[in-house]
Amino acid sequence: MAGIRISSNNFNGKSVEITFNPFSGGTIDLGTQTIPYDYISSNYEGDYSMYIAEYNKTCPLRVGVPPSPTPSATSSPTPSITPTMTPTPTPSAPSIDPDAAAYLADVVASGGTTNPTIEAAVDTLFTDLKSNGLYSKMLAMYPYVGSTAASHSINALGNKTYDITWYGGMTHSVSGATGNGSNGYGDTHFSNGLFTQNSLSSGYYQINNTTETLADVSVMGVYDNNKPPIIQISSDQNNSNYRLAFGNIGSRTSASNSGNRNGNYIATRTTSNTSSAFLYRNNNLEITTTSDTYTSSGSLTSPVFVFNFNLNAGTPYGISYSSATLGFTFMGDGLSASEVSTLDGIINTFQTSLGRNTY
Amino acid sequence: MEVRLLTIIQKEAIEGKQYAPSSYFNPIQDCNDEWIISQQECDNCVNPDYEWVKDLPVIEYCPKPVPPITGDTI
Repeated sequence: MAGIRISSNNFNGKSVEITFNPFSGGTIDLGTQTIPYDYISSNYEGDYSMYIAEYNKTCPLRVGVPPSPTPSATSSPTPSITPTMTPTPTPSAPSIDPDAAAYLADVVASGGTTNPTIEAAVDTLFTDLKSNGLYSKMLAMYPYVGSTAASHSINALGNKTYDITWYGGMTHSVSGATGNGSNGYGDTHFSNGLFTQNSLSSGYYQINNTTETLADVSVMGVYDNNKPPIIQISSDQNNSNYRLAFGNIGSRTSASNSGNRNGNYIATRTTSNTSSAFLYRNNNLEITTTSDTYTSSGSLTSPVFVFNFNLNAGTPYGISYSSATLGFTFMGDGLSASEVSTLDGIINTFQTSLGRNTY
Repeated sequence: MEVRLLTIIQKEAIEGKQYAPSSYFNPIQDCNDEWIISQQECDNCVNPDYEWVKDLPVIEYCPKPVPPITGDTI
């Protein structure tokens, strides 16, 4: 994916109102941005006008060569800009991460919509995961951008086998994917030994607050033919508890919630021992499993569902449909407390960039 | 919450069938053992083979009771 970086010797870190007139015609308002600013687009050649309100200065920038050069383009200097105040925008090669670019291309190809804000947020997500050693621990992840069912189904790591198939009624928007609480769920097709028995994690970012009136409403999980371990993150009937299951389904561990169900949930297990599975919400440890029943004894063989949990090899549990709005879902290898903290920050930064963060 | 009522024949005609990109019908039974689909499935259906779901009767959703899973440790 092509694009430019706009930077300045004088004004880096300042807010700049950018207007772009492509050589191909038209005007694009790129909004108020903080420079350095990456404009990612295949159509980036043209004239940029950058207004710095703090100094009441407008700085022009031409990128590329117009198809039909005009005399005024080569003979009209910009006298209003003094040497000391003139920013020196420097078009450069696009810096977007190649895997982020591939994911964004998939989103567009599926009919989804992106913009510079989404593209920058996705690029930062990928680069932060990689620079912190977490990208290689992700097995599947769903950033839910593009605002359509097809774009929200995409596994951002590129393996199309784990693209989500949506069943029943779902709503897809810039806020993410929303279940209807009656029959909507997603099948990630992620299963069958893809989790390492004693090194696995999963999580989601819930944007809305939901009030559950039915038992065992689950946002994600899988339960495989009565053979532990299962993964299930759910609520109880009176909406007062979280539940985490990393073991026998009859022996899950619950913890009181604060009344707010939104936030960034990360569950992880790193050993087979008792008290080895944890649920974090917004980087706070909410649940530590405490029973011998959580000793791991086998690998999962059924796919993980979202907006419900997979009960016995392919069937969503009858009353477990969630009405959550999700902005992120992932499955991965087991994570240490430190890694959970780092991942929590990366995911929340991503949501903040998209204006859908909860904390 | 309003949902759409199906006959058994209609349920079998659409179950697991695609109604929009990446999206498939998921009929479920309500508290009266009637087969239903959601309003969203009707609203978002773009498959011309199933446009008739937009004309299905509207009823109020009554969840089918299912015994909760028990045995949690708090």
